[in-house]
Amino acid sequence: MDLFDKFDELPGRYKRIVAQGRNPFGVEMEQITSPTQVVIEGKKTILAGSHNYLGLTFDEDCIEAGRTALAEQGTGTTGSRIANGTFRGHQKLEQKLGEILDLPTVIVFPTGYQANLGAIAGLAGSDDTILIDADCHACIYDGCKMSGATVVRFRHNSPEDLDRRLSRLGDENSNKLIITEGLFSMYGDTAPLKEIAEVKRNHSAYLYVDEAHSVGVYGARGRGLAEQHDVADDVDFVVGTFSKSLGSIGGFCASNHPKAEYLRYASRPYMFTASISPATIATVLKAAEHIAEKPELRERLWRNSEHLHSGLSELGYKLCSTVSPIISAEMPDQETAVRCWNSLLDKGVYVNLAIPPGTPKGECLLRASMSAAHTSEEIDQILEAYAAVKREVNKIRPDQ
Amino acid sequence: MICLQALPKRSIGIKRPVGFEHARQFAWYTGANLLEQFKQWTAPRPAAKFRGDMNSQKTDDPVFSKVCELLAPFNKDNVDLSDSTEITVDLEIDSVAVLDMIMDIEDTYDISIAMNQIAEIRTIGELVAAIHQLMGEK
Repeated sequence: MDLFDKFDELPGRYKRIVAQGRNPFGVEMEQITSPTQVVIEGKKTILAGSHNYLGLTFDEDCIEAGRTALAEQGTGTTGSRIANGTFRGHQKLEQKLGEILDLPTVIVFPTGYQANLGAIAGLAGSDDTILIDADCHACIYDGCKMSGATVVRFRHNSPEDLDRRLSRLGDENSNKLIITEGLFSMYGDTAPLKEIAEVKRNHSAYLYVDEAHSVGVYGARGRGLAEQHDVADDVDFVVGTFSKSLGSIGGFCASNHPKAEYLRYASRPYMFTASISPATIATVLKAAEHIAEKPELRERLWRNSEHLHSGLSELGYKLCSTVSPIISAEMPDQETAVRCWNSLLDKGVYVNLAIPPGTPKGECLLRASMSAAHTSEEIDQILEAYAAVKREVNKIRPDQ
Repeated sequence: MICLQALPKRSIGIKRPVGFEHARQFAWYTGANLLEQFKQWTAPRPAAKFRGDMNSQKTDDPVFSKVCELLAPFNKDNVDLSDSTEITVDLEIDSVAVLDMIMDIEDTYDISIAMNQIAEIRTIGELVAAIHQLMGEK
């Protein structure tokens, strides 16, 4: 007997993958020279597999703000928000995000993962029912598990199915919390929020939207998909992250519920963890201002996404969604996916390899993500690499 | 990214030698890095598939038949299905696929099987019993 016996199948699964070249889940980026350029294996590589949607990781204002906070307030808070880790910056950031999202309560967490864990486990209890989109992120599943609530999955992006499953629950005297995402991270597709909001109203449920990938990307003011679909008033809880558009690390839960502040005293992942460092707070605060004040970043991101999406379509790759900054190409099988992924990296392009159980329906994907910081030339280089890979692997055909 | 659980909760039932024989096989202690450990791995003997107990099969139960029908696409090794077949272990179905199959069952019988309940279901027999119970409650 060994504690690790339960992982007996792990090496077998990874052996087939690493035998084709590298370990796709442990690529070391030796140097990070810009939001879109890194050095991997000593070679200049275009980064098309991060979530740096607005390219703010090297923004001069953000770096300067972080540097000042680091010098003035030190390296870390060394404490939790409720004990000794609430600095002026945390309050200012929550206020600023509240202004941007037009929501009175914002609670900041150390990561996006913890924001979902903390918000869901804080909001729902054993007498409540949560309905989640089947393709929701792992942290939403984990939050549901932690909450102890009754959890029902509804079919991905199907308001009809959600409606049916809510009706099936009958008149059970429990609160119902519907959870979905704005932009889904695997296919790059978006939730039909207008229709879901209607179902929510009909069943007097609460609506919780994880806008991790959509804040800064959708909506005239970058508030997210709910703003874009004009249903922000129907969303009771918005959760997001600082590690994508905002180029840093951390997460938040925002709400217009009058009692939302109670979460600060009910959410264990909020109470029992150290708060984010002053430098992190400062960079996020600056990046949040950019989201609100620089719509040109969003315009550039969408132009780039359109460029890569149309280019890959023309090459005959089967893409998983209409244009969005996440552009996933469906692969016929895992072996081809791993081979293409290795080949792209050989050609100086880093994308993400996505395989089950991280993907819906057991599919294998090559996932590229666009940034406002990509130049047109870089996107052409990415497309050239994809074209060469396609020639090598004649197995990928548009009819597949 | 769904990733309910990357691996089955339990091992497939192969008894490992006591001590660190297997550990040496994976070179945990030889300083090789993880990549090398994965490359050096050799497949263990295939686990003996549970062949089912004909006496416990309720072939006349339409719910049992329906569950077997929905499991068929995952049953690549043609394991005989019975009440005692463990869904994720004997059929090696990943946890996300099981949840997708449960949605089909919910729609077939117009019932709601909560995820918390699914977590406690291991065998086909337990799943069939849960469906009967939920149908009875309607």
